[in-house]
Parts: sequence; structure tokens; C-alpha cells
Amino acid sequence: MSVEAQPQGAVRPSRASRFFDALDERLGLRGLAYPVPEHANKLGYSLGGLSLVAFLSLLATGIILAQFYESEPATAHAGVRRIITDVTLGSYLRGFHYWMAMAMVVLVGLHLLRVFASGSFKRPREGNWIVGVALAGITAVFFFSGTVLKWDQEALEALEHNVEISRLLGRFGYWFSPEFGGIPLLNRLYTLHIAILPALFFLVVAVHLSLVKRHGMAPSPFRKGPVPEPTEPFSRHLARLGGFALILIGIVTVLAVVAPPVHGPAPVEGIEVTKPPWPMLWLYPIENWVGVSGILWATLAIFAALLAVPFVDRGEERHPLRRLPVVIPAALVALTVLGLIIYALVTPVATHIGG
Amino acid sequence: MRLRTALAALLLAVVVLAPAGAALADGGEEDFTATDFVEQAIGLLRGQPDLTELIEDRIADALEDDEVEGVDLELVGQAQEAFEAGRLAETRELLERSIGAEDSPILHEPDVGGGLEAPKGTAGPVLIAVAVVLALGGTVVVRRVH
Repeated sequence: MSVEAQPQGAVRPSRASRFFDALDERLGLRGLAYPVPEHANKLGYSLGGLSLVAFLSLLATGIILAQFYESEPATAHAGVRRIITDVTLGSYLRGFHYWMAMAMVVLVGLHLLRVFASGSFKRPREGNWIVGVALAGITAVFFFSGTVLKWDQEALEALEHNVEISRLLGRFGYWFSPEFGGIPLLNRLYTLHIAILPALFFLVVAVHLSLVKRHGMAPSPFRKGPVPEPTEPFSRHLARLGGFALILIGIVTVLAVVAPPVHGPAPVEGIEVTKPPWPMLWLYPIENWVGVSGILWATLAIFAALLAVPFVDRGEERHPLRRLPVVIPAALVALTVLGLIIYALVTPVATHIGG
Repeated sequence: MRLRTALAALLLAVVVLAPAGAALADGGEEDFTATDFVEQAIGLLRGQPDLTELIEDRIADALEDDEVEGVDLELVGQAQEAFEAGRLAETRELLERSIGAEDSPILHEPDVGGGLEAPKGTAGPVLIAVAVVLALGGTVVVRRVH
């Protein structure tokens, strides 16, 4: 309500209220108070928002780290060491970036699982599921390219796998090979990490969010009876998300201080003495059994399975216990991935490239 | 029918284009010198000293390679003997000397991070305090907005 429209004798609104009114008049903030179902305020339904918060935190810390990073292979390792040892708060910034990246991988994975388990991808939201899988793919490439940028032994071995897989793909992999471009692949992965992927992420996430707004929040699969679910303003969901975000940032900050990420020795080409970071570790035993091509096929299989979900599980039922023919195989796949990670942790280091 | 045509076109593209990759792969093989092999042996000794066969191979490759500029093969030979006798520290030292890298800060710098550390200096405790305030504030917001 504007100040001019107040009736005589009415209590004058507080300064804060008037300030908010002024902002709302210009920015339309009250437009965010549109109704969403009550269940949207639960943590499980805030995982997507938290993933976005993680991405924005990574963007902020990444912008600072980029001011000090050297992307030439000859100096990249020493450059990262300089960030850790010489740059003010550099070690904490790098630690925050690392742990928030880990958090984002976990949050995106849990968000996918929640959407799958609650059947939120069903008609008319199939398209948005596919957009979401694309975002998970972008997150995976972000994680991989970030792993390479630290340019220690683990990073070089990750890059050598990148090169091997690009060769397996033949002409389709030429763009990802060191032969293309005429500059070191590390430079190109840096450009990918700080420019191409963020732009792509913003574009795809904009589509994702606009589709969420278009279709509204999916109904809860656990709600019974004909009575419609009460609603709450979306602004309340945002406030709660802000609370979760503060907790996330607090936890990640503590981890950055007390558990700084490892930076290993300067890389030596042609040997393999490390294992990949845990989000990629499930591929390690597969590589042991099948060879480098196993990484390619297993990754493609997982993403193909994710893309197929809305075409396979097409019924109207959303409750996970009444969709067992789809939920059980999915649970088995998830358990297998978890089992492979644990198995890889206890498996000795093996040489797959350059042995 | 359109779908079948598209799939057939995709299959044809794979069959026609993919073999070209094999030629690319052949062209991209690494060509290591004796120095590279010595560095690899040092890297293996540093990272995975249990991979004895690989270390033996790398030392032998260094001794047999044609491009030996910058490598003292006599020291590499001594390193080979030391390795066969199980003297790993001596092997590494001899290999480093063979390429003039015994004083290289890169080869001797320790890993950083990778474990739990107590907060250092002033910044560590301050950041922990800020983090705790943020997390508590977030908890209050989450509870209040419920």
C-alpha cells in the first residue's frame, strides 16, 4: 500500500515496512509470494535450491581463485602451491571451493534421487527431468575439469584418461583431444571450467527454473484423501532455503579450515599412481576389469538410464512403494555404484595407461 | 519410419567416421626420452613403490633409450643395481642425481593438505567462529520459518 493511500488516523507504517514497500513497488518482490504446496518447505524439496546456492558460492570463490591461477602446464602446479601458501586466505578459498564442489555433487545426486523417488518427473514434467539430467552432466564435467586444474599427479592422470577416452571416440572425440586447438589441453579445460560451463549452466538452469514455475511444484506422493494440500507463499520457501544455505556455508567453511584438500606432487607423465576422487571412484574397478573404455560405457549407460526414466516409468502413480518394478532396479544401480566406490577404496592402485 | 531413417543415418555415421579415430590415436602416441623414463621411475618410487615391475621397466627403458641427453647413464645403472638389492631410498637418490634433479624443489616438496589440521594463525579461528555464527543463524531461520 502506498503512503498517499493511507486513511486519516491510521497508524503510520514502520520505516522498514515503508522501505520494503518502496522496493516492492520497483522490483515486484511480493510477486515471489505465490502459493506453493506445504511440502515444498521440507529439506528434500530444497535440495535443488541448495545445489544452486552451492553453484553460486563456487562461482564467487572461483572468480577470486582465477585471479591467481596460472593455466600454463609448466607453471600451473607451482601456481596452485602459491595460492595455498602465499595468497592471503588462498588456502581457505581453495578449500571452500573444493568442499563446496563436493557438496554440490552430493546435493545434485540427492536432488535427482528425491525427484525420482517422489515421481516428480512424471507428466507434464518429463522435459524438466531431462533438463535436470543435463544439469547433472554439466556438474560432472565441472567436477572433472576442476580436478584437472589443480595440476598435481592425480590431475594429470585424470587428463590422460580424458585423452584416452577422446581417442576411443574417434572423430567424435577430436574436440576433446590434445591434437585439436593448437594450445595445451589444460588451457582449454581452464576455459571450459571458467567460461563455457558457467554460461551453459546458467542457460540450462534458467530453463529448469522456468519450467518449475510453469508446472508448479509436483504433488506429494504421500498425501492421502481428497482434501487439497494447504499452501504457503514461495517467499517462505526462499527464506527457509536461505537458512539451509547459511548452514551449508557454515559447514563448508569449517571443512575448508580443518580439512584442507590435498595438493599432491608435481605431475609426471606416463605413470599412474593415484586413484580418482570419490565421485568418480565407482569407475575405477570397472576400468580395472574392462579397460579405459569401461569408463566411457559405464558413464554413458548411467546417463542413458537417467534419460530413459520418464519414458519407462509412465504411470500416474507417484508413491515409490507402488512403483517397485522401477524403484528396485534403480535402487540396485545406486547400491552397485556405492559398492563399487567402497571396493575401489580397498583395491590397490593399478596402471591402466602408460603401463 | 523417420526414426528408422535417423537411426540408420546415425549408424552409418558411426561406421564411416569412427575408424578415422584409430589413425588419430596412432598419431598421438607419446614419445618418451631417457629423462622422461627416469622421472617416471622417480614418480613411481614416490607414489607407489610397491609397483616394482613398473619401476624396473622404467629404469631399463631409460638405459635402453636412444635419446639420452641430460642423463648420466652410469648413475642410472647404479640405481638399477640398488633397486634390485631393495635399497629404495638410494635408488631414488641416484635417479635424481642422474638427471641433476637432486636439489629440485618440485621433486622434494611435500604434499599439502589431505588430512585434519588445527586452525592456524588468526584467520583459522576467526573463520571457524564466523562459520558457527552462520550455521546457528541458519538453524534459527529454518526453525522460525517452519
